[in-house]
Amino acid sequence: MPGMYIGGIDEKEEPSVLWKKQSIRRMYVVLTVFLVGFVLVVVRFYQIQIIDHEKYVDKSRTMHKKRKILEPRRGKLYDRHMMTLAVNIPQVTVAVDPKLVKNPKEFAEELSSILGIPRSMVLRACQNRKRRYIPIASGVPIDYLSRLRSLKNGRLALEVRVKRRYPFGYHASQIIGRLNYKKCGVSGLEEKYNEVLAGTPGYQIVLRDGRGRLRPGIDVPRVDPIDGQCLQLTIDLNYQAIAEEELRKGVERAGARAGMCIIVQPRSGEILSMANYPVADPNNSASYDSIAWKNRSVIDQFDPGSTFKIVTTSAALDLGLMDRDDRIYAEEGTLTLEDGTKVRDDHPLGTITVEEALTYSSNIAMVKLARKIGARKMFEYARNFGFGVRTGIDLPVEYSGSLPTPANWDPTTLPRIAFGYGLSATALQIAMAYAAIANNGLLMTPFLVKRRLTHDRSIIEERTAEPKRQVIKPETASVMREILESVVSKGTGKSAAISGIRIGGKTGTAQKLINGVYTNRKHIASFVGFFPLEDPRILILVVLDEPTNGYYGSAVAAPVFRRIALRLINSTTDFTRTPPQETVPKMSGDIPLPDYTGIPARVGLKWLRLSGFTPVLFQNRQMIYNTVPAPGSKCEAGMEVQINRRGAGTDMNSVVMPDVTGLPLRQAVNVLSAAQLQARITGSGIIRSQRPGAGSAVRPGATCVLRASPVNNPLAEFLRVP
Amino acid sequence: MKTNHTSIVRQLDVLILLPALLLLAIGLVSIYSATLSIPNQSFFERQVIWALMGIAIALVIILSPPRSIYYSAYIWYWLAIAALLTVLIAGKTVGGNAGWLRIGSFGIQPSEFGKVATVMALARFLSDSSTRLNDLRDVGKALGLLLLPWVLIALQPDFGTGLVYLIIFIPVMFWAGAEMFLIIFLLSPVIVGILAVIGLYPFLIAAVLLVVIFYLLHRDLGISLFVLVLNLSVGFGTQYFYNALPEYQRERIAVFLDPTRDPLSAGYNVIQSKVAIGSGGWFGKGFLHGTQTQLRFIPEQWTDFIFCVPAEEFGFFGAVVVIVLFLIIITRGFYLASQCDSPFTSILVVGMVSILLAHVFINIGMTLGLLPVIGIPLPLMSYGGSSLLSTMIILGILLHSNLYKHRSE
Repeated sequence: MPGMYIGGIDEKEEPSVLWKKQSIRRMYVVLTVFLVGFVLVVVRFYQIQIIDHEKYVDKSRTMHKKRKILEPRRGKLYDRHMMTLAVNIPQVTVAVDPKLVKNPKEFAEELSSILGIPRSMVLRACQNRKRRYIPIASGVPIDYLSRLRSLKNGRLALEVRVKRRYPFGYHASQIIGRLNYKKCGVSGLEEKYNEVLAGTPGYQIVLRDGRGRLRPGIDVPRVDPIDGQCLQLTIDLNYQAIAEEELRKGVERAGARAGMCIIVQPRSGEILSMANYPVADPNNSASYDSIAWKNRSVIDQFDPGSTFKIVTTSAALDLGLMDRDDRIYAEEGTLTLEDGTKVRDDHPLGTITVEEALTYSSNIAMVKLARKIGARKMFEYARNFGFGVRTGIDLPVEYSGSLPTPANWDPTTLPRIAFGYGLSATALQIAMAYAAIANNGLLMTPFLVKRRLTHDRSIIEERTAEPKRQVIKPETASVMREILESVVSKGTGKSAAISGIRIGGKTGTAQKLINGVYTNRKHIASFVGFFPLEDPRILILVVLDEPTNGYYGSAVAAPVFRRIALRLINSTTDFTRTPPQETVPKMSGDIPLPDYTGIPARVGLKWLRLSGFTPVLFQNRQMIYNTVPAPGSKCEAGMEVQINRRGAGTDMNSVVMPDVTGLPLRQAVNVLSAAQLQARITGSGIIRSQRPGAGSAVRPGATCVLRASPVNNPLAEFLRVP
Repeated sequence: MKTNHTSIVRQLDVLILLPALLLLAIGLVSIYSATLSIPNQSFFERQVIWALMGIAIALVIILSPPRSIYYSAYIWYWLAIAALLTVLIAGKTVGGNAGWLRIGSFGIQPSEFGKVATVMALARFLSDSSTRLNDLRDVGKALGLLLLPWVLIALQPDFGTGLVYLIIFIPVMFWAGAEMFLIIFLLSPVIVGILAVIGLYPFLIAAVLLVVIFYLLHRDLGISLFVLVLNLSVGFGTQYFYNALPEYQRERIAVFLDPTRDPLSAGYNVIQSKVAIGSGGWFGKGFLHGTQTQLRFIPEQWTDFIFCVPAEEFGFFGAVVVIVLFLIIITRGFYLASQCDSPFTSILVVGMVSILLAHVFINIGMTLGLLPVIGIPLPLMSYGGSSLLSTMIILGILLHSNLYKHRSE
């Protein structure tokens, strides 16, 4: 019908013709609009897919491809008897995400019953509306993981972190060192051997889907991590514990500021123990005390004093200038040097032999010997004994001490050096110089790491003894040992003597150099000795820094040496496999030692005293576990009886649980049986957990519960990680 | 005139039929790819069944007598209204919309079919010889036909489908011969409403500008002032309601304006879809090798975000192929409308094409981040029986209309 459609159309035309005409016009309008839209969409596609392609490819990649770093296992540290000194323990950090908690009250109840933390604390975390990650516990043992994963009333945010733990705590902590938060060694062996221990991380590309789940990718590369190597140290943990305990007692008794004690195997240069006081706790990362972490044995430098006299004496003997019986006039205690300063002896002496000069530690005799030797030779011998040069021990930090070259000597330098002043040395340097005498004049390089091992304990590399140089002739060394024996048997070192065993040693008392002036108020007291004299296997150096309760080496340091030596001799390790009866003196008595084992130590102490013995208690408050000598031994009245209690560290009758986690089942059982332990097993495959944990002290023959699970899917390991 | 069936098939419009079948095939392949990594599901198989059913229904429409749609238009319309009412009263909620009727084991969304029925009724009414589009009462009646189902859908609530209803009204009215001023009159509250969400000044400027254009076209001060008042009240009303909205809904709108604002919740789909499309490049990552698709970064990708699959796995090339196929159908549809002798068929075809057009543009615009995510399926490709069946009905009507375009009423 005409007029129905408005828009300036000729109204005379037929309706259908008119409609079609209008329709075609409208089609052009609609299609124009439509095509503009179409072009816009295509342009947009071009922009996203072609122009911004790279950007979106990157986005897509970061979204679904995840580079999963596969952490290598850091090498463990063992002592020389394979006791574990440093392990890696996976621990769980537990955090609450309030949005994942279904029922806060029951959730809090459930969680607090598992972790033993206050319910209110969990509840408060659940009610936090602002944050989605509220940490509530860390350092939770991995054993709890499965229970924490299967809570009924919600899910937790769990993170598994591997922590470096030191089962024996502060023992040998300064040698072992520590890690920083990046798990990089920053002191001690952890630093020195960081690269060896750390291993090489591997990686794996995994795919992550839209729900955040990880899937193993096809055709994605995987580079396995290379585990770090384990280190077997030369340290004997038992010796270390003894040295640390006796050093602490010695420091406390003498009122000293600090102390060091080094035990060396003279033949090899292996460090059996390196104790420093004060001690540091490696498992407490919260408090860091740089003083406690200082490995004084290789860092503190001091004038050695009388202990240096072996250099003077052995040089004179070695050069053939003097014989041990040649006589020296000791000036009755006072010698005036060219510049007017006086050299004094503590005990004035007249004419003495060379041997007596060392036995009674005469400064004046040493000055006379040094003048015979001459500056050049004196310097040469000192240098050859290792003074002024780093020993080369495998520690990250070591000081060299100072030994001025003769060109810089003034007229008083030679006489001063003769009795150990005017130069400085570290405790380790002194110990190694004496070790050279004990080792027939051959100076050794000290070292701490004996073997590099794989995680299943097969040997990768073994270090052998490294001789540095022949310092003095073996004959001279032999004579020196005899002279040093007389120091202990009748000279200044008498308080170090242990009857029945030949010990060679030397005391040292040195004034400390404070601001370039020697003070007679602050001293370094030391004693160094070795035994048995016929074939020295143990050398012990004890140094006390600023003792206030008596300052002579003979008074404060020698008794510490003696106590350590006694306990070493009486212990049943490598060195003392020979029965104590053979080495403990005066076993010829006829009083049978009563059997007091199993009674409280305090009571036993009293009873032994009443029986006429001299009880020596090493740890109190415990039952007597055994005594040395053994009960029933024929003893002499008044002799010392060592009382031991059960416990780790010093008691060889307990076994330290080895770390078998991560080992294949069969291997784990082997390791346990080698340690005289039984195994109870659940599951098969790789050991996931053990109880008791590694490092705990257990009775021989105890049972260790192992939980194992198979490793079929190589991804299983990390897929379980939240 | 009696037409035998083989000759009907031979007369079918290849430029509509062929692209449609191709899109159907691409859609099935895309659904297969998108759901491959989901265990224990049968999306692909079910969609094949829907496709076969859709083809059957389309054939029934094609083979129906020439003027059957004209006569049955209002019947379908009221049937659709009845279905929408049933849904409101006894509907089932799926994916946030309560728009589902359960028939056997299949769910049906009456709103999808309601669009087709509404367009039929509108075509019938607008082509009636007594209807005058310069008469505001008749415009009001047409608007009523549209708003009755729209209200029922809005009550479900299904904002997306409701929007399609409003959008198709514009081309239908235009095609029926409504004046430009009428279109502007109808459009201006929508434009002003959208701008009101963005801010006060954009909407005030737009409202004034539109009224000026309106006055220049219509030269009637009274109506112009009425339009101004209407626009201002719509604008302020929108602002009032927008501010009264719950925060998460306002957030949704804000996220549309800036998807990176909250990458993990509301804007997530758009970002993921853009990453999938963008990482496709020129020729894509290959069938079943689209990382974003296979790793299911886009939730429920087989429904509204199905377009990402060809765009990611076949790249710009794949995307353009799909768009061009739609372009062919739609262009052909408008051409067909322009060739129809009868105003009813002409308006009907335009309405049907408009439904397709609205869906294609809104859906693709949504996947490209050009439009807010409002849950509109892509015709022929998205998984879903109702959407596919209604699209097949639309195609059936187009092909049927093409057969009888030269018959006068």
